[in-house]
Amino acid sequence: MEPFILGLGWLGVFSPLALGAVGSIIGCARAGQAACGAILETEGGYGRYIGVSAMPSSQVIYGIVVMLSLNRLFSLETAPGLFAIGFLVGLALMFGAVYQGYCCASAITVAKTKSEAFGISLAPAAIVEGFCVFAFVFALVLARSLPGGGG
Amino acid sequence: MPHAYVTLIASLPHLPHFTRAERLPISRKRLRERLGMLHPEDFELVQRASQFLAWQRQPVARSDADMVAAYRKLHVLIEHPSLWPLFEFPINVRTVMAALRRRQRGLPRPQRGEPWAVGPWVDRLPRHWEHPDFHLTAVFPWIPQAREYLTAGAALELERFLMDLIWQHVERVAPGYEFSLQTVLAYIFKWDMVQLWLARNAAAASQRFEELVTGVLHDFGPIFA
Repeated sequence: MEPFILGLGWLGVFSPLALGAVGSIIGCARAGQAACGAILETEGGYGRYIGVSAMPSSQVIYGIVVMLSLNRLFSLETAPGLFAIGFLVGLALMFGAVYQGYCCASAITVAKTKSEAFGISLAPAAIVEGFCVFAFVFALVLARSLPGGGG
Repeated sequence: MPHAYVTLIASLPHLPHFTRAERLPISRKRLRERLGMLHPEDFELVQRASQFLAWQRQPVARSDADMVAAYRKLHVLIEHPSLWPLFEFPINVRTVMAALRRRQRGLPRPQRGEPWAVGPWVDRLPRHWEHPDFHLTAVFPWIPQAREYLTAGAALELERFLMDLIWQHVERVAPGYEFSLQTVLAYIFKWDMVQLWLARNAAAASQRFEELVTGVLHDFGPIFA
C-alpha cells in the first residue's frame, strides 16, 4: 500500500504541469487553427489572431509554478494531500485551457468579421482564465498548509 | 470539435442576411476549394446537402409526382443526424405552402397515396383541409402570414418571408459561432439562399453589372482617349 500512496504523491506533484500542458496543447491548437483560417480570409491583422491563439498557454505556466510549490520531500502523511491538490488543480487547468481554446477560436472568428468587437469577444476567454487563476492561487495557498510546505 | 471544422469555419467570410447582401462574399469555386479541408466522409455529407439544395430548385415544368419521386431517392441520403435538423423545416415549409397553393387554386383535397408533397406532415394536412391554417398554427405560427401574402398575390413578399423563416431556422440550429459540421452545412445552405436571392434581384444584378463595366471602361479609358 505504501508504494501506491507514495506513487499517488508523485502523480499529484507532476499532474499540474502534465495536465496543464495537455490542456494548453489542445487549446492553443484549436485557437491556432482558427487563426490560420482567419488568415486565409483576411488581408491583415494576423498578429492579433496568433496572439489570441497563444492565450491558452498560460495554464502550463501555472502548472509549472504549482508543481514547483508541491515538490518537496514527501511522506505517507503528505502524499495524499499532494495528490488531491495537484491532481485537481491539474484537471482545472487542463479543462480551462481546452475551453479557453474554444473561446479564443470563436473570438478570432468574430474579430475577422467585426474588428471593432475584437476586445469584447475576448471577454469569455478572460473569464475562463479567471477561473484558472482561482484554481492556481488557492492551490499555492493550500500547498503551503501541507507539512513541509512552510505554511 | 474535429480539427478540420475550426480552420474551415474561420476561413469562411461572414454571410450577411440575404436581403442585405450586395454580392456573394465568396465565390462557388473558392467555397468548393475551402470545403476541400473537410474529411472525405464529411465532404460526402456536403454533397448530399448540395443534392437537397438542387432538389429544391426543380424546373417549373417538373410535375409534383416527379418532385416527390426525386425526394424519395434523396430522403435516404438526408435522413442523417447532421442533415435532417437543418432540412426538415424547409421541407415542412414547402409542404404547407404546397397545400395552401393547392387549396387556393380550388384543387381537391389530396387523396391518400397521391404524390402531392413530401415530409412528415403530408398525411396530416389533408385531414384538416377545411381549416384555414390546417390546425397547425401551434406548430407553424407563420402560416396565417404566409396565407395572407398568398391570397394577396404578393409573390416577392411571400418569397422573402419564407426565405427569412428558413434563414432564422438555420441560424437557430447551427449558430455561426460554433465549430461543427452542422455549422459548415448551415453556411452552405445560407450561401445558397444568398445566391438565389441575388439572382432574383434583377436591380442589384444590373447595378453590379454596371459597376463592373464602368470599372473596366474606366481602367481602359485613358488608352483610347
